[in-house]
Amino acid sequence: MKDRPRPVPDLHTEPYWSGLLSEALRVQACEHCDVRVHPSRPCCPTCLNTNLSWVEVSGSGVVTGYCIVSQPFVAGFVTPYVVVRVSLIDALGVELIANFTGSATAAIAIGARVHVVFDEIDDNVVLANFKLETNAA
Amino acid sequence: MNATQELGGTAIIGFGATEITRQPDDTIGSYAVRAVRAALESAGLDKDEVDGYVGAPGLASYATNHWDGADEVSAEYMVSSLGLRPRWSVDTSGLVLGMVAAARGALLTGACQYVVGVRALYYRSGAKYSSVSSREIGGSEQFTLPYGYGPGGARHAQWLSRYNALNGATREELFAIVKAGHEHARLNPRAYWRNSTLTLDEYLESRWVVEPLCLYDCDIPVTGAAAFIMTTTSLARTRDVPFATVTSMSNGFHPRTALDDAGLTHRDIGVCQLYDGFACFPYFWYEALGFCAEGAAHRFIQDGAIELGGRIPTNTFGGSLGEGRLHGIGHLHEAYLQVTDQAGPRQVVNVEHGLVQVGAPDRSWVAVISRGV
Repeated sequence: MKDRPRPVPDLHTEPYWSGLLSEALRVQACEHCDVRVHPSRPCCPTCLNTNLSWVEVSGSGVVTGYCIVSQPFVAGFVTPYVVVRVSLIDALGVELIANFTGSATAAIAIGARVHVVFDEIDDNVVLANFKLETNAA
Repeated sequence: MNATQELGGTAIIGFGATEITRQPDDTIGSYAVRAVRAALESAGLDKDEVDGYVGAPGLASYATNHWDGADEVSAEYMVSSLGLRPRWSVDTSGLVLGMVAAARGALLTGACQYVVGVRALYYRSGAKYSSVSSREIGGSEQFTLPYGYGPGGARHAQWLSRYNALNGATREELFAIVKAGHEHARLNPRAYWRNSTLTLDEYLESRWVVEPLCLYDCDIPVTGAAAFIMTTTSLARTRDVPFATVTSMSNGFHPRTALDDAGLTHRDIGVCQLYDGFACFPYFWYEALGFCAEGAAHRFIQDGAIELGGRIPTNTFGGSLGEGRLHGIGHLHEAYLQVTDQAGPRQVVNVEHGLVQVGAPDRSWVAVISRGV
């Protein structure tokens, strides 16, 4: 864990990472056309408005892609591990990359309903990961 | 006649390439220079006639030192090594067809008359390819690398996981692409896998790299270089060498524009060179270019359809999966060889138009390369 790569927040991304420290998953919202934007960008890709605010989302999502990394490419990771692509249900068009936790690797599937979990890497970094949603309809 | 043809069009009049190896005995600069010498010879061109240079020095080597001339080559390095005084030169950002697009613009605007284009890759056995040991990640990758996501084709493995789930595609079906690459490599003396006899069982039993991509679904990193000579079509006609025209090009966001601008459909294409850094990439293009319906590529490629003699012979030199990872210069080279009738034992009969695509599905170029007349 201690060797894992850490995010280095910048002016655009600091609110995302500080949000995770207080267990709030936030994405950007265009103040002009209300499009949701992530990863954070200097402007809204739809209307080029540069006034983007941060809104909290529920953390519920659907798995739209996954992979199981078996070769130890990245320091600090124990292989195999699952990386999911999650489409957030209340932030149209936003997809997050995250690790899949709390279940056997075999439980992952396209279309699976998942919910965010906040994994503390150290005192300064919390990552948004996802686990199977327990009360999926 | 499309806008480019009205301007007179551009052509590839020569191509040269080095051997491909994982045990390089020399610098990348040496490989690149040898490729240029072979290209000049192929075009029957004196180096003093070269007045343009285009390169793509990026990502030549993931795991070594990024030393100009030692493991990657810049325009400055090549221009000075070759003793050129170009009227036009540029380094582009990595895709071989981006080099062609740049050269085409320079030639059609009269900035220069003969462009040499160089792509060289460097890999040394034992180098830790694609590994990440940095502890601090800024920029876009701060949202991916902290999750161990990035190297080894993770993005493409995720794409394939979705493709497989939505379309009921299987590994046995994907093997058709890997098999075609290895079969065709046996007809290409330069190919890394020229002696391969890969079977379905060996493929299915190979280790995962990033599931659902296994070892043989990933192209093999190699050292090697290739170079081409481009000029205007009217100048090409004055030289006593076979040539290929760059008939049309479009960004991968508009794949069929290249066909439309050439006044062609997929049925007019005799041979395809589709970038296969990961085996799943061609799925996207058979569908995007209209060779088959969306979601049907995994079935379309079965029963030898993409092998020599099949409906649309693809990656007839072996592709990156069979020849080695030269980031698309091998694909362009083969398109030139096929339409100029120089592909030897793997020549497809009567090819007037070839299609070349280079890059991952979300970052790509498409070109129609045709027999020059």
